[in-house]
Amino acid sequence: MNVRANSHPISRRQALARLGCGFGSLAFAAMAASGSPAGPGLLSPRPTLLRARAKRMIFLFMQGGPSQVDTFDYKPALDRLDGKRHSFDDARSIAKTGAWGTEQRILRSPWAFARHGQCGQWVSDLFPHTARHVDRLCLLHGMHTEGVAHGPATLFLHCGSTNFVRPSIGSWVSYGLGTENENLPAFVSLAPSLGNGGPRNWGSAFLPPVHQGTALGSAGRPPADITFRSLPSPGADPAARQRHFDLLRSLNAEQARNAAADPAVEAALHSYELAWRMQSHAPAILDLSQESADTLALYGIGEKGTDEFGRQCLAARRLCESGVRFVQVTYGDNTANPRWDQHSDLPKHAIHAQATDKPVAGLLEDLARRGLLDDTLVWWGAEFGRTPYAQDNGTGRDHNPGGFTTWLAGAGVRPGIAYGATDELGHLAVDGRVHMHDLHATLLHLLGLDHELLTFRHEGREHRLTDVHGDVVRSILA
Amino acid sequence: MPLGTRHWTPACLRAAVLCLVAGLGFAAGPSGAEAHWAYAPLTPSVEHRTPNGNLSARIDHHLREAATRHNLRLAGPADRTTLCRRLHIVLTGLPPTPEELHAFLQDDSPTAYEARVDRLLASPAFGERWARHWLDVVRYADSVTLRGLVFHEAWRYRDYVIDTLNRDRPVDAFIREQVAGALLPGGSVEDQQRHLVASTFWVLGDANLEEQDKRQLELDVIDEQLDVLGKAFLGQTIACARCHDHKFDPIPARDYHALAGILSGVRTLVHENVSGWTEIPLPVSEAEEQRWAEAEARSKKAEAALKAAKANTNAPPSKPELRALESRLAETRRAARRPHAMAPVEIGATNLPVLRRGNWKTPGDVVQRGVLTVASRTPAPAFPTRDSGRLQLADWLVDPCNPMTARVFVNRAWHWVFGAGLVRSTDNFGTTGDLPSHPELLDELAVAFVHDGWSLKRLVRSLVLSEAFQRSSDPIAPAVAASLAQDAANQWLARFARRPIEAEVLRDTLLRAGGGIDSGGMGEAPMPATLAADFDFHSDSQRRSIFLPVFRNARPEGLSVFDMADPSRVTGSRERSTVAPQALYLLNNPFVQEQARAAAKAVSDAPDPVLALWLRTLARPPHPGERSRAEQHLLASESKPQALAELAHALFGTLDFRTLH
Repeated sequence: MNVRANSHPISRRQALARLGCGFGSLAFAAMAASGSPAGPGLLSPRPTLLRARAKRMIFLFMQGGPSQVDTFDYKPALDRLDGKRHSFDDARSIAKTGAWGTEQRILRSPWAFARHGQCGQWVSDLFPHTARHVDRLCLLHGMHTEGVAHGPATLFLHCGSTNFVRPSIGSWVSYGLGTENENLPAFVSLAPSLGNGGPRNWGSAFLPPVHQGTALGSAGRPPADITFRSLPSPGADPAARQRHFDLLRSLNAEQARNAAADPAVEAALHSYELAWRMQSHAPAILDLSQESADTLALYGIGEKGTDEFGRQCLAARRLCESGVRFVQVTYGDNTANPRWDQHSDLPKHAIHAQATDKPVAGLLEDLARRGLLDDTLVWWGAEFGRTPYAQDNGTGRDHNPGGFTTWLAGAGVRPGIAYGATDELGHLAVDGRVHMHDLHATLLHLLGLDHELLTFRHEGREHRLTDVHGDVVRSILA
Repeated sequence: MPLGTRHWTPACLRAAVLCLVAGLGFAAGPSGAEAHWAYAPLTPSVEHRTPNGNLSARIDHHLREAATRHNLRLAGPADRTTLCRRLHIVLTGLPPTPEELHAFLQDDSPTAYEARVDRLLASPAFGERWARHWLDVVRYADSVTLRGLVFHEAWRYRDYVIDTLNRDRPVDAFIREQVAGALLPGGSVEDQQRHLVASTFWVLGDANLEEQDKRQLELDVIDEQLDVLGKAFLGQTIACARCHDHKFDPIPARDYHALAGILSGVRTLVHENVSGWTEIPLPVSEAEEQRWAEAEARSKKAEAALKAAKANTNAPPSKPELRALESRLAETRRAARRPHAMAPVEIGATNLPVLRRGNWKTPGDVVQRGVLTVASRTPAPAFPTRDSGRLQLADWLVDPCNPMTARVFVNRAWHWVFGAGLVRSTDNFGTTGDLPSHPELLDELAVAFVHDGWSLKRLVRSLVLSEAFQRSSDPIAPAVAASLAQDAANQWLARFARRPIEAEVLRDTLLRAGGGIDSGGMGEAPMPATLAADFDFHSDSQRRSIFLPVFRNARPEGLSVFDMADPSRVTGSRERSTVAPQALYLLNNPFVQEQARAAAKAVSDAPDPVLALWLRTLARPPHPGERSRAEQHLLASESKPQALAELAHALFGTLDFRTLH
């Protein structure tokens, strides 16, 4: 066998790609050089190529898909045409049978809309608290995405792919930015849903495992479950713990005596010191009892209906303050029809709106009061929206990946605007269209990361969150 | 090997420079990725192989030459205590018990090591250890991520792999069975069962069963299957050629669709809104058939009895009576549930059109079924019109003229023994993968492997009998220190490279130290037969880790923090991270604490509890410094059991416990 590198002509771009000269590998080489092999160096904070408008991000995931035409995307035509039959290009019918233009019954929104704030954007009665912050929101009415079922669309929302095993956006952010607090992971997912992709939605796939999201609790579990794992049990005797740790430390010192030059040994020893600091540091971050009654009330904590999500939103703020880069808060569950998934009985949207509205508004207010909104980006959204017509002539709405609303607030985005639009009936994005890849590109941009340069070499090629797609939505940048 | 430095191994640098030169237009000589080393025939060919004697000696010959070329002095042999633990862990996934270690150290015959190798290769623990390696490659799992749906029949495949490796059935047969399944000629009932179960290989993917465009779903599943096939057997990223000709490797989109055509002739999905997967009743012997028929008759009878009772309006049954009848029915139904294999179903011969940009709605020219053209040294196989052609695909994979399969497999075995392959990118032998460090050795191993009838045990035996495997890893030895300094990644194998023990080894060793490890475990996974979703599943089973269900949504913390393979992806080389959550787990996890208490209890009556504890956890006596620290700890404590437990707990966290030396 004759081994040689192959020598067919390739472009300079390919040559550079093969050399691993994408931003990612440069950053990676720097990381490897700056720290121990697989230890804290991988999470050291790193400068960004672009000016970072946001230092960190909170993603409020409304699992299941809230309806745009019942929340932020006001369509008076639906009132006028309620009950009328009309031909729609229904995404599910197209996927299942290839049938374009199926007849559907238009369904008006049961909620009234009104203009709010200085900007005068429309918000429905579902979100009275959020409506008070509309001057802070940047509404994206022209969202569209891929996947007509929850599984594919949820994976696409998080990982930019409906079927391949790819890193989650939070993992990419961790990889690109590192953590501001080396006692904490860079990416935390609060009470994530195990359904519809489960751990893949906070997984690091081929990125180094240190970038995997740390899941605290899981959907449907009591708020007390939102805690770091493998922390000392509350009853553990501190003196015994200290004694055990000292013993371990001295035995390790014995064993490391002859191997001090081995970087793997150094990394392992460091990991214990870090763990020791983490376990003293982490529980306090999630201890909401340190908050004032005023703040708790702001999030609706202690109130029926809003307590659960309020606690998660407050925990998100505290994690952000402590230096976590990417915090995801999920309003969801583990079922096949996640909370916002009103295929029937659309009025049940009110339950979910009530559960999330005050906590979300409280989070915006709290972040603003603390000056955190200046360098924290808040992203509210779901895997897709809903149809403006009744599903199967019933009482609810089906999934709609073709047009829906997402909003951003905080660092780097223009406040109080609505960008893009769906058609007259609120079905498909027609103007200012923002594909999920574009949104991902924009989010990374706001964090100072160029989505085309944030790459990782895997299976012989560079990979990125946006695959070969994505355009930064420049019109919404402040 | 530190991540991030891998781009800059000398081989990579060489490749990079050549690429740059090529890119700048200075290329000379023959062009084309077809000339890439991985597609070249094995040299010498299997037929022209001259017996070179002892393969272990040949390994050392090649390694010595390369090390000398790189000015590296070979390290001397490891001490026998270290070697014993190393060998036991590599072959069986468990350290030696104190008794096993003692017996080894007492045996001063020159064949003691060889005898121990043979004993371990013959033990069931060998298959339990090595099957886990293969399960990583074929992304084995007992559930799908989506909705956590549980594969209740996947364990048969796991057991099949363990059994195949323990019996040392030839690896070419192993590959053929997985790929061709029921298309292999029948034989006995056991053969037929084995063939079906082996083809579970195709069905294990983490498919997005909820995809509403079912044709798209089918093609996505085929894509995933080709991805696994390509990486597992050929070290090729075939799936890159789904939408376009491969950017780097000579795999045109036509080849992709020729292979996809074969797989479109089998079905692994059962379509519904949320699709399911295929399961086929296992063929049974005549005697068993009768037993099943009787069980089915009993179930029918129970059904009739319940129906009759419900219909009886004259003397309606009491509630307890009704419940008894219902539970009788459920019980007989369960007993009458025939064993199934999670195997694909043949549809028949199919040819696919090239799907432009991977989209089934934009078909191009139809491509005849086929294999990778770049690696075909023989005429393309003739595909039958009666079936999918999986058998022809399988035969092509293991054809001696196909150089890739044997090379990829022996390189995997090398990786599993030495911790890093001769080709470091175990799943990528393409032009973007790493070059072999010892190309002649790789070929010689592949040729010998094929020549010796694809025997894994013989191959592994040769590897662990080499001097290279027995070399010291202790940096106190000057040659080891020099190798660490000059060749940190240990490409030239002048020392044995230390590495962390795998997640399963760690858990099994903890269980063993605690004394509670279950022997055995073949058969159904420890989970309720009716379990529908894996969400929040937790098991307290004390079986070896390979026998725990691999749930994609409920990976046990003790395995996932220590880099168990992602069960949704082909993993020939696991990550090796050293992160704080691992330390937290060893410091605080109740399971670890429980094993520490049990280990302490087991040694508390020993004449020298410290020695006993060290042997039980680290498989070696304590160093003087360790002993004095341990004794100081015991003396300072009021409660001896607690102090011993603390000591055991601390030992579990030590570097040596977590490291293969």
